[in-house]
Formats: sequence, structure tokens, C-alpha cells
Amino acid sequence: MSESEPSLIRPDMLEIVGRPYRRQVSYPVGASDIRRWAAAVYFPAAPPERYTDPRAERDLVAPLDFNPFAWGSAEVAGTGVEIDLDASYRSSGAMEHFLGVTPPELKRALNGGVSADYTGVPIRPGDIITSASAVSGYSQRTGRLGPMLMTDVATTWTNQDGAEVKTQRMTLIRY
Amino acid sequence: MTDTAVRQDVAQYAEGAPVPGFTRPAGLEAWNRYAAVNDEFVGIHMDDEAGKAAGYPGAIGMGNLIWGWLHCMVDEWVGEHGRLAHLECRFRAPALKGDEVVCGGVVTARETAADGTATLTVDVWADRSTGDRLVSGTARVTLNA
Repeated sequence: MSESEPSLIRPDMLEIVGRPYRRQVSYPVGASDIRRWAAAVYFPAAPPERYTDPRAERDLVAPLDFNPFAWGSAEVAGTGVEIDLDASYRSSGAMEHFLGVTPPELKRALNGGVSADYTGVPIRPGDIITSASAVSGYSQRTGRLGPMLMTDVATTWTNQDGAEVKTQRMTLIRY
Repeated sequence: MTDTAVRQDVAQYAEGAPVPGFTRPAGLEAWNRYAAVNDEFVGIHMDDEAGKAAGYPGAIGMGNLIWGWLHCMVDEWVGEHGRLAHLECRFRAPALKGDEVVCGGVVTARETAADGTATLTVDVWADRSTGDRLVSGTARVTLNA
């Protein structure tokens, strides 16, 4: 960032770094949820038999990239300090409002990068997954799309037995 | 496992071994299916005008879907021999309608622990069939003893 460019990172944004902003509990994972996910990511080929064979249902395991929260959560634990977010931010991926902070005036977003550490604990039908997320850092640079704010978010999933399934880190680029 | 099978296994996962490619067509047929399971009905993935407004020739594909394709590629390659322990990637450019996205990889390191388990470090990528790199990353795979 050059000295002439205004900072996109405000002091109140820095204060929320490391503070959990969202805890979600999934509905029980369904076998059909897993099969539909596999069908979508393998399209146009059919998914492997281990996803489609009804005789293998006892051994059915979700793909590692499966998202049990995509269409909603059974429970969302608030922070108690949330503020309303204008609908125009819907596609921005903003999360600051969950901790009472107004998001930066950036309403477009791209996925800048992602990493995941998998523990080997699988997700099976019937599992209930809890997800907890926090901003782990902000940075800023100027690119082809103009000034861009990079927001690093770390999310940890655990299952109903308290076993950690994965930790995923994502860099959200807002511009 | 026979001696021949053991040799095939070692060669398949040796340093320098390629990961069999995983190729998928980009476009609304794939993106709509992925949006339907991941609730990712975002304008730039659905609507050419929204894509153009964001500076692209039209609608663009989801980074998450390429992330999924990389998982498929590694999963098909490793199978019952082990598991994917870590994957990271950077999204350099989005897929566009009509692109054929070719995911690939190569083993860059193999370390074997005293208990016989092996850890592979694997460079992975997703390219357009024209050669443009869309995604680059690294995977870590643990092979069973």
C-alpha cells in the first residue's frame, strides 16, 4: 500500500481479530446431502460407487470439501453485539457486523485462497458438526481491481463427540 | 500385497510421480449444480452482466468448485492407500464459461517415518486447457504403513 492510499483497515476492525464471530451447529448430516454433493463436484461424470451404492451406506463418508452448513444451520450462536447489515453487502462475505463493527465499504468479494488441515475424523450420515470462526488477520494491497482488503478467517469444525474434523483458513478478498 | 504390487505402489507415490489428472468443463451446468449444494447463487457466478460489472468477460466459476475438484483428484489417486491431510491453494484467475479445467499434480517430496507411514508433499494446480494457471497449491498426503 502506498502512503497516499487510504487504509481500508480501521482500528475498530483490528480490535475484533481473534474474537469468535460465529458459532454454528449443523443439522444432522443426511446421506442424500453427501450424495448430492458428490454428484455436483464429479459432474458430468457419475460420482464413484462408494457414494451411490445403497449397500455401502453404512460406510458412507462425506467428501472432505463437503459443507453441512450451506443451506442453513440448526443453531447459530450470536455474539450479543451484532449490528444489522445492509442487503447490499450480501455478496461481500462481510463478517465484522457479527461483532458490532461496520464492515468496510467494499461490496464485491473473491476467494483469494484457502487451506485446510484434516484430522482424519470423517463426517458420516447423522453427524452434527459445530463450526467456530474468527478473523485471524487483515492486510491490504492494490491490484487490477483497485484497493483490495484481504481478510484471513480461521474456522474449526468439531463433531458431536467433540472430535476435531478440520481447521480451514480462507482469505477473503474484498474490493 | 505381491512384490509387483508393492513396486507399483512405491512408483505411484514416489518423488516426481505425477498425480493422474482430473478434468472438468466449466460453465453454468457445473456451476448451477455446485450452487445448488453449496447455496452459492452469487451474481458473478450466475449472470454475465454481474461478471462484466466485476471486470470479467462474463460470469465466472466458483473457486470453491475448483477446490472440490482438487479434492476429487487427490482422493481418486490416494484411494484406500492413505488420506489427504492438508490442502492449500491460491486462486489466480477464475474459470470462464467454455473453459476445460485440467487439475494436475506432482509429488515433490516423500518422507517415511519409523512406523512405516509416508508423508507426501504434492504440488497441485488447476489450469485452463490453454495452459493458463487458475489455481496453484500444495497438498500433504499421509500414506498408510
